[in-house]
Amino acid sequence: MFDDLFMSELTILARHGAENASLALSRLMQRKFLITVNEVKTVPIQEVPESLGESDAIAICLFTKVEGDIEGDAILILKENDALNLIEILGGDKNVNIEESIGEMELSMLQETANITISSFMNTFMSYLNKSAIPSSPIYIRDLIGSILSVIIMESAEESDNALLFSTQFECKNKEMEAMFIFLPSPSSLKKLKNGLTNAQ
Amino acid sequence: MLSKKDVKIIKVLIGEVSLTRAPNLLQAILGSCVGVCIYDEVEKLGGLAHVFLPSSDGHQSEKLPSKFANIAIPMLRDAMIKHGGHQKNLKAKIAGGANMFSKITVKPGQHIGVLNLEAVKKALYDLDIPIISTDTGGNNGRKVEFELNTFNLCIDSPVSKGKII
Repeated sequence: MFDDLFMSELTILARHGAENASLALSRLMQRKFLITVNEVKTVPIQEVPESLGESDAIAICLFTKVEGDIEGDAILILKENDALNLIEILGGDKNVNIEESIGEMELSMLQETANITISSFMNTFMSYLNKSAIPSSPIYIRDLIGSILSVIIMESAEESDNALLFSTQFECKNKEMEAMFIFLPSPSSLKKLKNGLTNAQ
Repeated sequence: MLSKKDVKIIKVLIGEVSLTRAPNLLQAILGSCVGVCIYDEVEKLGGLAHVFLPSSDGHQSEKLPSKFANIAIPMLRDAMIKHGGHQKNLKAKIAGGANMFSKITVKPGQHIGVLNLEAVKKALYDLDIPIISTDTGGNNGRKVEFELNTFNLCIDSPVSKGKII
């Protein structure tokens, strides 16, 4: 299903997407913010919940539904501590009691970061394919990493045995935060993506 | 007294079925999946099925058939019998089936956690295996550990730690 050419084009586009996201976030925050793509891979669905490491750690997930020519779910997922670091960098209260209830301002910071990151990735892909797709506003979920990821892949599990994962790193103010950007295109959208990438000149 | 190194922790990933004996531990991380523990207290034998979807109907040439409740549970029962378990001793404990994305209507109608739970209960009923205890539903994920020494199912979630059923 995923040949080398497709994966290599996907990786190149993901890196462009990360550059665009870095630019957008740097502008928003008026300081250098760097997003890099470490790895693009496909994994069998049953391995997805283990793909971020400790599956029993608590993570923050920002979930969007993508609609348009390409449809699917796009998710940004960070370990809790990395999400708190991100909140601090963005000027929020790092000591917010994220267990009880996240503050409105902190929530909006995380949603905005996810929105910009996911939109930048999607826009890069879509402009290359000459298609359009729009992510919904991100929904915040705090839960066990393994649990979140298993629910996210549930929808594609009936159709496919693999998922597309983009491991990314956020870097700002000498702090590094790991994030996973996951895109789960619907089966027909995956086909469009694959045809569009490997056939585009 | 057992030292920690004598106890093996076996991770049961999505769609997998695992079987072990005391004093080992079977572990799974669940969202809307259901962890089905079937055990034989006399033989000190137990297994865990990490059920991901309710039914294999309409899914052919599946690489991981044990992700479906209607396949995983009979598979686990058969493995129990094969390894010395006795049908009359078999009992079950189940956990999971949460609706974590309650804010998202993933699919209209019932959410997958409920469908998984229904399918699991039906499969256990069909095999005449009584359900001793449950911790199901809710909006949070669970980390479950099934201890083969005590047949305790220990459950941690972001909202509660150390629950034992």
